[in-house]
Amino acid sequence: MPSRGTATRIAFAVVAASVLLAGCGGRGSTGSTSGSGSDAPGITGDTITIGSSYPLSGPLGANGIAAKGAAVAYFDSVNAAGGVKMADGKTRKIKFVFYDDGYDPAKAVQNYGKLVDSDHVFALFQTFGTAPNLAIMKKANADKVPQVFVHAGDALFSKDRTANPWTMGWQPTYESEGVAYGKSLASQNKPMTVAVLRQADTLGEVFLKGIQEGIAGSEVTIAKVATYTPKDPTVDSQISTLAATKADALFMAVAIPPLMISGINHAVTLGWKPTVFMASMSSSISQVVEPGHLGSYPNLFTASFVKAPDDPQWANDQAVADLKSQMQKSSPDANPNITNAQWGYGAATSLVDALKGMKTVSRQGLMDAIHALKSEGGGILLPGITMDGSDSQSTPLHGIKVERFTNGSWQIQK
Amino acid sequence: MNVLQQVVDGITSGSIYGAVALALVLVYRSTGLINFAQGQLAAVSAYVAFSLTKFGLPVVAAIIVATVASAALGAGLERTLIRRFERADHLVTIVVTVALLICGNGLISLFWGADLKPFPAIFPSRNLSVGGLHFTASDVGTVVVLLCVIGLVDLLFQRTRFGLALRAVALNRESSAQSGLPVGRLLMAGWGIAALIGSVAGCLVAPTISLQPGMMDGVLVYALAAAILGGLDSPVGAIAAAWLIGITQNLAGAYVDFIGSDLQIVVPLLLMVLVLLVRPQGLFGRKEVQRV
Amino acid sequence: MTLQDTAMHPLQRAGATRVAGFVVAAVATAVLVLLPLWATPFMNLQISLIAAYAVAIRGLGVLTGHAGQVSLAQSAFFGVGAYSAAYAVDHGWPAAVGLLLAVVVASLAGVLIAIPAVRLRGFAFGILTLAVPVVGVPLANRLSGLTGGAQGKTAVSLPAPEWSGLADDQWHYYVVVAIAALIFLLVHNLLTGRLSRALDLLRANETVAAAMGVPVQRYKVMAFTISAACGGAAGWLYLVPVQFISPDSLQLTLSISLLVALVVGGVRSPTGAVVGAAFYVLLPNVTDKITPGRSYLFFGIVLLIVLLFFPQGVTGGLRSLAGRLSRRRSEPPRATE
Repeated sequence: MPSRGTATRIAFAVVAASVLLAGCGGRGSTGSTSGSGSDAPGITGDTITIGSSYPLSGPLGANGIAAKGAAVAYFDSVNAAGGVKMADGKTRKIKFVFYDDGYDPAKAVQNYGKLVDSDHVFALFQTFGTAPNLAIMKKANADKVPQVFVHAGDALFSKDRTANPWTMGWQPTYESEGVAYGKSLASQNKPMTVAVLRQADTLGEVFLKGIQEGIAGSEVTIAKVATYTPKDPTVDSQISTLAATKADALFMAVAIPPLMISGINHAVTLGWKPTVFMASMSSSISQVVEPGHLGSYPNLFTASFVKAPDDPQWANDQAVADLKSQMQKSSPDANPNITNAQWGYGAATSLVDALKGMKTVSRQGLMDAIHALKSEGGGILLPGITMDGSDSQSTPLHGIKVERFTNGSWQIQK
Repeated sequence: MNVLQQVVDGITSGSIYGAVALALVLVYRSTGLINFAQGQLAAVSAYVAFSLTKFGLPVVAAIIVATVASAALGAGLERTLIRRFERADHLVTIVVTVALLICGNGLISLFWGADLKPFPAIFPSRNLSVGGLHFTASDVGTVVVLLCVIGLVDLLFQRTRFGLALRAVALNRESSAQSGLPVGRLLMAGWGIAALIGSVAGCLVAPTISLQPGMMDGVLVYALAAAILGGLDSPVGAIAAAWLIGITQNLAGAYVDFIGSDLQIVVPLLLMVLVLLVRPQGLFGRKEVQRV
Repeated sequence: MTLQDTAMHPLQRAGATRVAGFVVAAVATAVLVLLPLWATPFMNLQISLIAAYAVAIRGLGVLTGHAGQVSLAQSAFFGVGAYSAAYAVDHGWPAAVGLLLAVVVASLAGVLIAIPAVRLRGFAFGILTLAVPVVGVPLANRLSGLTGGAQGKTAVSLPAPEWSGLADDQWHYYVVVAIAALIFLLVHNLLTGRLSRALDLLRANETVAAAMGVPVQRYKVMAFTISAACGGAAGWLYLVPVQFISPDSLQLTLSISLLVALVVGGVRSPTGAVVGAAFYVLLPNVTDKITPGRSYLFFGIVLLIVLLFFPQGVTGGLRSLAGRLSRRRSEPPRATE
């Protein structure tokens, strides 16, 4: 039949054309991955190209948009001031290229390919999420492409510098946050019980591990652990189970703000009012505490290492004001009060610091500069948070602070 | 005591599943297909209500307006889109509603953004307790409102001529057309009423789960299970199955260690599978007789 | 110029078409063979992914397109295949063993689910298949000993051999595309004669088919198993270039996307499976340039357009378009009385 051949012909032509459109350009001269084809790809006389992959759609879309928006805002402000002055005397503007992966590691891998092969980025920055970063990590290290300041709280991105020398975290791990809560309870020096509601995946596991570590050797014990999945409409059932233990404290290792709100409120409904520790990603004043009417809850704690724009105590802080105005200008669709935005802004600051500190303008030079980063507090970081890039066993940032909700603000506890 | 508390916890969520399941059954009975976008339409309605409250409308008025608009949208979709596929096979009708689901999700992101938006409370925030069991005024209000809506719809179907006509069209479209019933308009009405019920459910659950483009995805899976479990042509079955699902899900999650709360969803689906194997028409459905 | 000039004898036309068909096939094969030598690793990755998803979609087509049973379970079989492949890599087994394992485990899972499922009709069957990935994903998270849990599994395999002089991404391309082509050939051979006719009858009207003596349940299980086997193989194929699998890639949205891709391409067409897979993989490339993060919306819009204007999918639409064009050329002039 004439039409069958025609259909096949057209279909192949369409596929071939789309493939060609998909990634124009041939291979590097070596015929192998273009990652190692040039000493400093992504660098020209006046620009440096940085790449990333975020969930810009799907359930984590708002978080990805917030982190991306904050980074874009900071880079825009640096470019507006002229750019980054680098060791070779040239001042370069940052070109930030990013793609959506919907938190699907398969798409993150494709985005990696696009960024390295088509966009020829100098480095990957702030790639979002544990699973997508794991998918990219082996390839990035094989191709010797920096995968720096990954936007994930898992320790494994910073733990093994021999195996993955090109990968680096930024923010304190979720485990260290759990440790902080545990230590805060242990420091009261009396027998206490704590119930835990955690997400049923590694995020929840590391939170639990942290608090267990923090209370080790003290008179505090874990009464019961319940789990939830991000898709659950409520956690009433789990809270009812935990309430039956009548524990003194409740660790809400919950990453989903509506579940944080309804969970704590259900505890109140049941007449159970333990000391509550809220996981740092779901404790924003404007996103969680206020809409959830949790302001009057006695003994509400969280932890943080950045200044929150919606916290009145930072109303006159310069870095916070800069963040708000820059995001309003460059990324009006991103919400600065989502913690991912604050983390993204801080990480962007660290990247620019590292770019300035490069002794040689190359990928290895970037890694060396990051390992040499040392500072304390400053900018969007809380006072007392230290940055130390030379620690080969851990993320660069240390010292997450426990905070207590007092008079409408998250007050840092000593 | 904790057992009864778990049961009580399950009644509110069961009512939400039941409302969406009822909407699914309505659509199935009137137009013979499963609307995979039923939850997404409910989500759109909740977003519209949210925007109306931002314009200053009190939340109850906003919900009423959004619900009416949703009914119109449902009717309109039936007339303009679904009607074109009424003679198509199962695959196409399923995929059409899937297309609606995808586009609905995308359009919400486009117009309102993907971030989590808090929905204002509908009922006064008050904790109640009866005999050691705890629940909120919102729980009671939600269940009462849904039961009223379901009761009114049932009255409509069973006691009015309009409802009789709707049932006739659902049973046998050709005969109804030959009897002079305005089949087209009745089909639109079926979709409109279904959208209305779904909209009420979506707005009632919005304060608890907050607005998000995919907010009703979880509810939809449970509602589908409830509709099938109850028997796709039985409204009573859908609601009873939904409560059964809400309650057993909580009990299994709390008391069966292997299940825990991350595998809670296994329970209603397993229940559905087991029942279907024994009674393919569902708990309350009629056995399907195909004339060839 | 009259129509007589362009009209050909029907037999002449058929011969010319067959030659044209061979030429097209030869050119296409040459392109496929030479492409990876010139293309970037990213392009090779995408083509390998298109091949893998095409196998999954073709498998779904056997069950949904040919047998007429709508299934949302394909992502689960894909996942089973990918995890089996990762398991084989973990234990150092040769790649061929991994492929066999993926296909066998997925087929077994398919049979186990099919036997109870085929007793259901229409929507009930569809909802049951929906339950498979919805249950499977939290299960994959829970069984972290086998699956690596939420962190997933990295599985690096099939490094390019020395004698080939190829880079890894090129070698992966050849392996994946060749095996995918073989699977398409296998499915083509399976779908001949009795099975194909039985599935057609079953799809048209199950009750009538049963009344005619067709063992309906058996054929439904067969179609389901073939579909699951293809899903498992696709999971293995996917793991070769991507080298990572986690539950995040196996959500219900993948099943929905495969179904959409099937319908867009053409439900019973092998070419359609390839077109659908290309659509799924390449659409974000195009739409993210226009507006990032909205590819899902475009996906839905294209689906609606296809459903409204090309009910046979893109390949069906092209076929009827081509048919209309050639008919116009060869029709004798109409009588005017």
